[in-house]
Amino acid sequence: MRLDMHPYQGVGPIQFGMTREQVRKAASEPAHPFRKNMFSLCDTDEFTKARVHVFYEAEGDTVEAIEIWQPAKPTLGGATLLDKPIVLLRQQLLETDPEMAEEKVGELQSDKLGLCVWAPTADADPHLPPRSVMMFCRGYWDNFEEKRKNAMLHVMKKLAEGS
Amino acid sequence: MGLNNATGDLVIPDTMSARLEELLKKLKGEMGEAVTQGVLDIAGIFDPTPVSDLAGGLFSLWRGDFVGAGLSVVSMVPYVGDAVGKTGKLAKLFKTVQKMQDRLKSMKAIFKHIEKAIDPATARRIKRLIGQLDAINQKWDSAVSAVEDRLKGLFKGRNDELLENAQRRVADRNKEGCAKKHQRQTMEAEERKTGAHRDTKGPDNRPDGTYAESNHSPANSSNPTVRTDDGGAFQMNSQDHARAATTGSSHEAKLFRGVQEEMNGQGYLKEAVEMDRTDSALKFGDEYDLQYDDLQDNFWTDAKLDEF
Repeated sequence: MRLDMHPYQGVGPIQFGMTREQVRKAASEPAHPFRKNMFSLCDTDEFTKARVHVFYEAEGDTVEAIEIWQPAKPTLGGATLLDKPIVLLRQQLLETDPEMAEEKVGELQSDKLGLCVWAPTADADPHLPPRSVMMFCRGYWDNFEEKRKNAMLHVMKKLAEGS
Repeated sequence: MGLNNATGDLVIPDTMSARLEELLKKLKGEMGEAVTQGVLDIAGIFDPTPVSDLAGGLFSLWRGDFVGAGLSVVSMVPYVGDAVGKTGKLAKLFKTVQKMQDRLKSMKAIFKHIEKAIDPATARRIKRLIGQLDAINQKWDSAVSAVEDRLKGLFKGRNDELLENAQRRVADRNKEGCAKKHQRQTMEAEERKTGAHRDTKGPDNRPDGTYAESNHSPANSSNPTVRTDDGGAFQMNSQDHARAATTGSSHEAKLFRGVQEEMNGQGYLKEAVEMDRTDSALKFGDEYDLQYDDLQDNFWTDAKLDEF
């Protein structure tokens, strides 16, 4: 599967807004669904050979985010992303989007490019490439802070009850 | 107002009461159909498949209900249902019924206002229709309450059993896909190191073609007081690492790490590791038991926690 990334459109043959069925038809290999974690409202499709995870919006079951993992070779505007040190990639992305956010070291988010980068050990190993890049659809991060706050409050409440 | 006569009494044209009766009849048909189908669908979620056990296992960490997890019953029902391929269907149904309930409420308010001003025979028929609609509504509310009770029941006092069922189900489901993957890339369980990240990281691409990635537990970013290289970690197969609860940039992963960070900040680091372990068990069975045992027994000791 060619993994050309197009901001707010999709990656390769997988486009935002496609249904799960359409994605599976478009992919060149079978999907292996799994549940990412307890906050997932529906299954994520893993395309193992391509190293791609497709996340779906729960109600409509349509694509909302596409994450690509090492050692795949996704490209954005012809440039590769997962084969260069995070420190270099960060610099290149900042040239395109000076507003790019970095909430934690190695967790980049560019709303201009519709792109997130995950390099969890960027502080200790800035010479290593990121582990994954993810394209997201418009509106993907809407209300996220509220969700995060609710999740934390709930868990802490449960822990306090249990202690 | 145009509906009052010269003495101020309300006068309702026959066409208005007839229209109200007609709308109530229509609503009765639609609501009856939606509720009947909805009750069947809800029953279909829980029986006869053990899918609810899978969902229960996912939440076993918290030993209690998860209905309050910022997720209403309305959103939890499709969550459970989704696992048997009913994605979003019930969420839509809940919305539909809710709209019908709103319509009923409005019509009841109108009827209350005009009841004494309309033909008594029509008023009796409308009352009967409203009674029938209330009964349908009651049936729906009971079904929703039963779902809530069922969901709550799933997560109380049955964690071991739920986890076991969930593991078995996940193992069955993943048998084909994951087995192939493991044949190609697995390191033997005994080979995988556990310890500080500085000792578990290394060349990801091994000469024999397998991969091993160092996986922090709890997530590295959730533990800002511990340096990346000092954090507890173990080696994990690359594709399993990508599937782990904490990895990547998705909503889900960020929520999970955010919760772990809050837990770590409040002294619940061991519980945060347990969250990872539960997730790992659900996805990979006992594949990483050795590493978690080692991490929990020998790395994140009380003495180590005191260091930080």
